Amino acid sequence: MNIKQREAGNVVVLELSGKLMGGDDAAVFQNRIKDILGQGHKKILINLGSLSWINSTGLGILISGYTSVKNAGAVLKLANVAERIQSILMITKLATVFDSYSTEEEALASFEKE
Amino acid sequence: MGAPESWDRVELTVPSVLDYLSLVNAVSEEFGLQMGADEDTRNAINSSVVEACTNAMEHGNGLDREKRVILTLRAAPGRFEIDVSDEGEGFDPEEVQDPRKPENLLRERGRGIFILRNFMDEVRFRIEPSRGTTVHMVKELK
Repeated sequence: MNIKQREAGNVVVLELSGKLMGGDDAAVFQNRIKDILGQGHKKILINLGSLSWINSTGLGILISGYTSVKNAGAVLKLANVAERIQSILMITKLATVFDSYSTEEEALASFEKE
Repeated sequence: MGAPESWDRVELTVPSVLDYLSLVNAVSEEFGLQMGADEDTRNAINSSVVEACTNAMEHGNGLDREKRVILTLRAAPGRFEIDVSDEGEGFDPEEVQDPRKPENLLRERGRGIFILRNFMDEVRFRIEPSRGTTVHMVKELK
């Protein structure tokens, strides 16, 4: 997995690419989240549009990020969730945990409403 | 497991290294394409194959790269059968908790077998202590 980071207004956008499947990915992702929270950011958007696939270990990595963000009083959302990944979120009921959007624009707009 | 020899059959053996999951996914996707499976079916099969191989590498073989995971894909008109075998000690799949329960929803592990059972039409485990576990999966084409 690779991570590209940028800011859109007061939202930090992380673009994940490649595959999210465990191993080193867990520490890389969690450290990035901690850095962002440590800088005082409160809104994080994970763009999954370039992620080719994810396994259940990768889902666990996203959950660990979600938990860290929530515990810090911040908000994490997902955008550009591919059909294959969305179907896994649905059957595992993680779709009820993650606030996810079809496009980055919709996700960013949802942050503005809060 | 008892499939006719006339079925198309592909076998892949990989070490228990997570990086090989990309190859596993690619082989599964290409096999599905070659057999004419639609995108939904391929997604279900690919996700299940990756989950089964992840389990075999991590929980079966303990990520010991000397231990192999063997993936066998078979297809006949209207039907896919998949076996994933490891060389581990085996485990009780019935002990796996439902990850959809509120108390389990934010657990970081424990979704792999649940995903298999939801995406595939049939999932069976053959556990042979000291020889390994084989998970046998069937997907009927609609």
